[in-house]
Amino acid sequence: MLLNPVGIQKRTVTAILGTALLVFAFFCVGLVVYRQSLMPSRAQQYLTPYAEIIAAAVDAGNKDRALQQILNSFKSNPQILRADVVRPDGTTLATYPAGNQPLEPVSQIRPDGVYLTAGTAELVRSFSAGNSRPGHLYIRMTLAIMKQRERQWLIDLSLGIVLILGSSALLQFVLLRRWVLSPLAQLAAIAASAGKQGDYSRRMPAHDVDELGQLGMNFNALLAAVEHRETALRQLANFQRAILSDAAYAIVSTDQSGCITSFNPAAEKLFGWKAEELIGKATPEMMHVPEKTGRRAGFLSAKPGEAGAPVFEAFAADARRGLQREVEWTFVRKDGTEFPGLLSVTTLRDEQGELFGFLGMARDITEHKQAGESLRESRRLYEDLVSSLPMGVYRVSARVEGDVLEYVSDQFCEVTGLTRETALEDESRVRAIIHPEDRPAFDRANVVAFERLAHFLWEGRATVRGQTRWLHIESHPAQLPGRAPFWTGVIYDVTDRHDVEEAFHHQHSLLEGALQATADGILAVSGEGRINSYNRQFLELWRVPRGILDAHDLAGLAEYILQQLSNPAAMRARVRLFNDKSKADTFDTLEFTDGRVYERFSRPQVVDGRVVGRVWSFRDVTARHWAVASLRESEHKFKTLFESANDAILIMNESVFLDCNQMSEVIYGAPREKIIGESPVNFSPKRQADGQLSEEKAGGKIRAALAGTPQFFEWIHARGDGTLFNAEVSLNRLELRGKLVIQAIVRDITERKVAEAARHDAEQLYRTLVNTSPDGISLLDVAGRMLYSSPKAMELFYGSAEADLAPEQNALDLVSAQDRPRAAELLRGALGEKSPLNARLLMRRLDGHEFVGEINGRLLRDRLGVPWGILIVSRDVTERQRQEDELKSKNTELERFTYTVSHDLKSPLITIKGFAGVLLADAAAGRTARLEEDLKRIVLAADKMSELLNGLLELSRIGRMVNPPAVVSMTEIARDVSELLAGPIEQRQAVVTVQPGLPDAYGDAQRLQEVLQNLVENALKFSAPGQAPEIEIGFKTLGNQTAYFVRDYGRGIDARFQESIFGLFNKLDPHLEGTGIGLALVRRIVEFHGGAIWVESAGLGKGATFYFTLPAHRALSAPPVTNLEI
Amino acid sequence: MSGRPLNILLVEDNPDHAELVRRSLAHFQFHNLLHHVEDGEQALDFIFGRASYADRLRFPAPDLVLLDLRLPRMDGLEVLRHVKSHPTLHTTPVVVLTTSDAERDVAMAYEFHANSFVTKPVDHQRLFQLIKDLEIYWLACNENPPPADART
Repeated sequence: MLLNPVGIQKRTVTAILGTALLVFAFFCVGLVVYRQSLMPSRAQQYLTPYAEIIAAAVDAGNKDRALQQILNSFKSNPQILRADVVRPDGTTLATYPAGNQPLEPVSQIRPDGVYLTAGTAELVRSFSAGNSRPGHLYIRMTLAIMKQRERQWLIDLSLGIVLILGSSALLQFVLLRRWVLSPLAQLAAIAASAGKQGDYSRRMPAHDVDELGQLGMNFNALLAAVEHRETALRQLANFQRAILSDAAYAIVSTDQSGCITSFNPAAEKLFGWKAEELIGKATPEMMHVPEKTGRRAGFLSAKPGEAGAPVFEAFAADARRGLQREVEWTFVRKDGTEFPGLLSVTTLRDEQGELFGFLGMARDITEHKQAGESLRESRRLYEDLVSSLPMGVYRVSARVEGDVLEYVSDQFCEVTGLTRETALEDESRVRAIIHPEDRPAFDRANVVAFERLAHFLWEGRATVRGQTRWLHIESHPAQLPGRAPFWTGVIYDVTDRHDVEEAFHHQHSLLEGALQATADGILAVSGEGRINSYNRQFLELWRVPRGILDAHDLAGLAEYILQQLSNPAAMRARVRLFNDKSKADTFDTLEFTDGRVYERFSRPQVVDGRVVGRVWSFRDVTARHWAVASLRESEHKFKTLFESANDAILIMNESVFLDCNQMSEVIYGAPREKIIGESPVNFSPKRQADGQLSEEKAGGKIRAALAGTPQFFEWIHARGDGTLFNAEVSLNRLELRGKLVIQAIVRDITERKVAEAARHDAEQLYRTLVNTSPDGISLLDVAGRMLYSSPKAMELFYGSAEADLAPEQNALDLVSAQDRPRAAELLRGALGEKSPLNARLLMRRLDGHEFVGEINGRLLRDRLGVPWGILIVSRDVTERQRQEDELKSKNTELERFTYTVSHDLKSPLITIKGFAGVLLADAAAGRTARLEEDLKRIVLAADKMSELLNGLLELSRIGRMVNPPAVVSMTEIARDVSELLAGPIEQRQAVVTVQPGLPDAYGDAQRLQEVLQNLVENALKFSAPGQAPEIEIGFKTLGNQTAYFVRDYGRGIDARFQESIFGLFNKLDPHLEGTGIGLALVRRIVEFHGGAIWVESAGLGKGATFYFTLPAHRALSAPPVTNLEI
Repeated sequence: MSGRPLNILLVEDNPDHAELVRRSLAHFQFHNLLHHVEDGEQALDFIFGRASYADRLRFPAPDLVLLDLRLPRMDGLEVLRHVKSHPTLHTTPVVVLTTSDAERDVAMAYEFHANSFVTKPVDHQRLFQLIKDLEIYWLACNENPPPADART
């Protein structure tokens, strides 16, 4: 294999490897040889140093022993086998290793040098003669190691070389392969596939532009061309084959001599011979019928092989001459049958134009002949038919110059009333007979037919022999090759049919119109169960999907319809929907689940006494049905209402009652029969409450009601027995069964009247009570607004009984500002019924006048318990308040008085009795030391008591004003007082000044004098010690009042005591004289006059001023008192 | 009971009544010192040790106050109130000794924290007995509060 590799790759590899190997071998050998050659020099090189040493040693004249030693040192080198220093006489000077056998003397001493043997090398060295020790040195070394080393080295080198070579070989191989081998291989492969398998499709891949690349490209081109040609050739062959095999013609080719060279399948079929039977064996003569070849001589027997030259020659001659013709011939099949055929012969020439054969094509024309025959036959039939048809037949062709009638049958002429000549001559003559109105349609149909080569159809009127007839013209196009298209058609008179049709259409459209116009849904069903027709309303009524109808699915339809009904089962049982084949008319009402109601009516369709179908009609009567139902219902309701009403309901016309309900009998106290027909006036007294005549008044009301204005009024009726009763009457106009009537509702309101009267009386009573009550009565709403105030209340709050209550008057606005919060609180409490509204409030009228009002309030609830207002009863208790206050203060004062008195009187009593006891005890014991003192005490105490009692008496007297009040001149009184107290004044050297113009006061002069006197006395008493008292009597204006004052510049009064000093028996200084009632007395008097008294003092040592006011007129009212409580 | 004499302050505007009390007290065994003031101002001055009575050596804080209600200028109840609202001296026993037996006065007195309320009887024997009983009770039976700091 290696030696004879196949394939360039392998060859290349071999070459490269071989080369490498060769190189390697040469190299190795060379190397070995080289090295081998070097061996002696190497040995020498190796041994020389040793020799030198020894030589040197020798030269140096070393002792033998030294030499020996040197030689011994060779031990260290295992390579050295032996070393000998030999004297010229052959004795050993020194040897290594010791103990060697002396060398064999040699006959001839070898010259210096290195001598190699198989495994050793020996160095011979002679010492120079000049040397003291001439001789020879022999060193023998083994070369084994060196050789070994050499080998090793060689091996390593070899390996290296191998590696290098190997790599190089590989590299070479790779490169070669890439650049050369692969392309070549590819090329080879492609060529192989092209050549062997004929596959020209493969191409060389694009490559370098080097030669191989070029080769590849050229090769590709070559292949492409070949492939192309192959394909073309193949195609051609296929084409040829196709022609030959598929041709309908029998194709037979011969060579020049007439021998058949090809015989296609059609020929096989036609002649009955198989291709292989004839090809190369026979001539076409055998397929010819001899009799038929009239001018052609000779015929051929059925036996193959014999040349029938004349017949063939005849053909061939023609062919040669280039004459090609088709001749009718008679052929004979293999089985002997004859058949007519067409034959044509051509020559076959090669590229140079040389004749190399003949080609004959034959065709069986049996059918063709037959066809011709049948055509003739049909033509005859056609003619017969045409002439026997009741309709006219024609043929018209469309030519450039115009349409031409090519043929018209006899009947045509009969139908159109034209002669044949006329028609054929001029086609437009036909057109001429057409009614002008129908001509456009005719023309249009014409145009369409001609343009589209389509069916022509026209029906219209024409004038035929003076009559107007309806003609139907219809034709179909045909086009034969090479000829203009023509239309063959019929024309016939359809007048009768038309008339019938028209009548029918008329009827039909009438029917259809009726069908569609009716509001009922109609369905016609045939006896066989087919749906003949239905109208839109039917669909709508039943909402049937068209599909069911189109499918003639009667069962489905029935089901569909039944499903919508409210009681399908019942219907199903009763009616054979759509299957009814009876002769009866049926009628039914259908009720639906969704409330619709239909009426169903059906009637059989009878033709000649036979039921052929049935027509169903459905009508939606829902509205009517429900209308009727609701009417009935409302009638019923009305009736019920009418009868069961609590009021009398009567129907009347403009004069009498027409109808009445049960209650009417009760109210009028008369039976129904007595009421109906009577006028309401008969049930009334002569006159009404307002004096009008009943007849007149009633008439007016009735007329007004009839006119359309509802009447509502009170009336006095008379019962059947004559008793009168009050009634409430309402009249309303009604339309009852087309007539206008009045519906009268009469209610007996006697009781109500009585109640009203009672209420009226009660109201009167109430009103009287309210108006005559000394207390003011007001009504507030729950918001506190005044709804009503009795005259007394108005007087209280507005100051006048005739005043009008202000709209939206809030009760709280009538309360003084200071009491308003409390009033509001009370109102709230009353509304919530938490606390009763009983209070005394300071009221304030709009004019500013204030008074104390005692208010009692009470929440009012309506029938349902809902609060709707507050009833307020109020009275002016100012005076009473004042009196109560006065009484209270009097009581308080009395209490204080009693208390004070008891205390102050008790005090001296204790003193008296105490000291009396002491005296008794002392007297009994004989102690007299304090006798006088104690007795004095007793007496003084008694005096004190007396004084007190007197003062009290006087004070109590003040309760009664002795003198009637009068205008008092205060100036005069001041003067009198000064005179009265002249003594003490002078004594103290006091100065009393009286301010001029002291206004007059109104009161008891005596008492007023006492006031001034007391004050001045006090001023004198409380003067500053050591100073002459200065006393001023004067006045100043405070607001709208006059305040008189008595001023002193004495001791003054500590602020703490400025109030208490007016208290009874309160004395600032107990040591000073006085009963302590002076100021109390003064206050009493001033207050009785309706004034006030107070003291102002800056403090101790700063004097004091006593002020007192006296109202101009004596007022009965006490000064404003706050904090009134009951 | 300590050996020192107990100080009684009599607040009474009526000199005769004051004299009667003094004489009654003089009879009795317990060593006591009676001080007398005639009005409320002075009473407070004395109790609180201020103004003219600032000298506590001469005018020690009283161990007992006999207080009349009817006093000029400052009312007895007022005095009572002041004493009983004093931060330290409110513990001073105050016996209201007055002619009045009015329920209102009694109520008010106790309202102002009077320690006791005694009505002066008219009968002199009973008066003497009363004073005596008072003394025994308040100075012998009753444990007085420990002496407070004399400063007001």
